[in-house]
Amino acid sequence: MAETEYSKCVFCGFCENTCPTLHSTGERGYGPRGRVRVVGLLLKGIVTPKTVEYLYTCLLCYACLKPCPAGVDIPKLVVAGRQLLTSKYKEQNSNNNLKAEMMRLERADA
Amino acid sequence: MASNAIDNVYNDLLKAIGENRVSNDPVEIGLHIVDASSYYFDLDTHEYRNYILVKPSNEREVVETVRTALKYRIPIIPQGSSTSLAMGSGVIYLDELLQYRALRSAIIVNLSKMNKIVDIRPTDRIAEVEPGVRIDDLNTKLKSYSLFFPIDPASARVASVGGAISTGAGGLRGARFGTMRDWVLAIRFVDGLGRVHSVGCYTIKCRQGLDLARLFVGSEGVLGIVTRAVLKLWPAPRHVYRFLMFFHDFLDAYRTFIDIRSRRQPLVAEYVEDRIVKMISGSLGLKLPYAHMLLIDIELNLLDEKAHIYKTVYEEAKKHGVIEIRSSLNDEEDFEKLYMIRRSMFPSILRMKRKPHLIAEDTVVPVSKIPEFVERVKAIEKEHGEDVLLGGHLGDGNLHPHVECDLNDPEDRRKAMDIAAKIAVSALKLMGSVSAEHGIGSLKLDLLIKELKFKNSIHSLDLMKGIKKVFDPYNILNPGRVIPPD
Ligand SMILES: Cc1cc2nc3c(=O)[nH]c(=O)nc-3n(C[C@H](O)[C@H](O)[C@H](O)COP(=O)(O)OP(=O)(O)OC[C@H]3O[C@@H](n4cnc5c(N)ncnc54)[C@H](O)[C@@H]3O)c2cc1C
Ligand code: SF4
Ligand code: SF4
Repeated sequence: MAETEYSKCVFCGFCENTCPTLHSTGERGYGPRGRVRVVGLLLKGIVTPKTVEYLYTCLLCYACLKPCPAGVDIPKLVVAGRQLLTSKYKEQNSNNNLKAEMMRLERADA
Repeated sequence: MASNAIDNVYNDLLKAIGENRVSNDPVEIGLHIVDASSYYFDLDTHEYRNYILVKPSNEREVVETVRTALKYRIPIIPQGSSTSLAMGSGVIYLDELLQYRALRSAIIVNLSKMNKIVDIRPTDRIAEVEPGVRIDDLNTKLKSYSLFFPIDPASARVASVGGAISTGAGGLRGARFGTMRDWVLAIRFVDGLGRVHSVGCYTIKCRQGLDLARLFVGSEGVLGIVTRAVLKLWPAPRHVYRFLMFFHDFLDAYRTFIDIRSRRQPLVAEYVEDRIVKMISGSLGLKLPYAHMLLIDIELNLLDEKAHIYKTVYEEAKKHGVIEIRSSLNDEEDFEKLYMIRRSMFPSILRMKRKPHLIAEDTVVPVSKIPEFVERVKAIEKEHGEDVLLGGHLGDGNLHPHVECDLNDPEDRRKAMDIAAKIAVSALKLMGSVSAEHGIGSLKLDLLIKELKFKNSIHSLDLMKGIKKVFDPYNILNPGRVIPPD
């Protein structure tokens, strides 16, 4: 699912100005266009604590869905990204940084 | 650049502007190395380490970044919202052999954090803004002053003022309001030596020697990094009538526009051909007729004109066999629905296309030559057996031809480039140009050369190269864009 949804995105950014979290930092990863690409990078195996930060700060509020002309279900993709992260990386002790960041953000989420 | 050298650049930048402003995190870098014309290119995983992202929050940090880049002779890519359609704001570029490549290393300077609207002066009808301000955000702010900034690329929701200045952007209101070059009064920028310049005036009239502010508009980040701009404003139209019409063929839509224009200059006149309309229907899940679409906005001087304008448009459209007509007066929500159809043209083609990639051309011809241009494009389409989809700014002659292709297949890429070249020549023969608003970037360097040769002015490239040298003697600012390498 994640690959198909990701491949629809054309990087136009039309989704960005409705996103409440983007305005909090101005960092591209805190907005929908960035999060879609973060999942794309994750699918390629490019993962850092930033992956966790960007995916776990999404409110899943769906505000970005309507303006997207390519019909990308961004929140669904974010959830898929989180699942991928959990299943693939959480138990890897080699990546302690990442694990710590995920735990920190999960606690903040709760 | 060797990996320890890029680490040195990173450490210097950390010292100069602090860790909040600099990143070498591969994921964050991954969000900034592509733009809307190169998003489908992927780098190898290890290559993400060759780039540094700088997110300055003020001019001093821009200056420090340029100084660091100078010290290490590393390229800088100025970047706004990365919606460039000319491969101008990412690290991917097209070389002389039309092969896609990535700059070996670079500092990407993303200006999104410099997004303050510094001053709005309603009496002077000007706004002073930082480069990261998005055009739509500026217009939202201007509403309370009953003013607006009229340049509205279809990407205005996201496009930054710095990006729009640097590409010389146009938009849907081009026929009525021109492009960025008509609306920028003054610019502050940092040149390739780290010097800050302030060119242009706060007044409409200004004779400050050579017009450097104008020269800067459309310079695509190769002359300097914009840190401030003074923009001209206009009274926001109080009453707007929007019409969406569908016709059996292009000529009916074109003639309707010409006839309406002879009675009242529209604010907007946009055209989308039938095959694209079908793609938009599919992409947005709408039930639009499979027909040629014309979107017209007309400003009403007084609300009393309502019936008269409606009658005028209706009569002209009927004369040319309109199939369906939808209209809306002063209703923001309705406007957005109708506008969304046009705005979604490019992304919808991308979504519905059959081949993996899409080349969006940016040719422009005088309005009187549009029918001939469309005919020539049809002939090219037939000759190559490939679809060339047309849609865009009918009002100013800037219809964008879209060609699908598979860039990974050398044969198909050649063919697409051949089609693009033929379309460009058609435009040139009809007194047109190869790029109206998207800029040259690295995508259209060959077409720029073609145009200058066609106009017997290839030596003008020497002037451009000379100007670049004065602004940026060490060629660190967006190298390889706009100005063909020697
Ligand atoms: C769906 C879609 C529709 C579009 N429709 C239109 C349209 O109707 N009309 C139109 O003109 N364009 C259109 N574009 C193209 C694009 O949106 C415009 O060129 C826009 O002005 C780019 O703004 P940006 O902030 O994204 O710039 P970027 O893509 O980030 O940068 C564009 C260029 O400007 C340079 N640059 C950016 N900021 C600065 C700065 N502060 N100082 C110096 N150089 C800088 C970059 O180096 C690059 O060369 C469209 C794009 C998309 C994806
Ligand atoms: S769902 Fe996530 S990405 Fe989309 S608008 Fe809400 S917070 Fe932003
Ligand atoms: S609006 Fe849709 S297609 Fe455009 S960047 Fe956002 S997710 Fe991608």
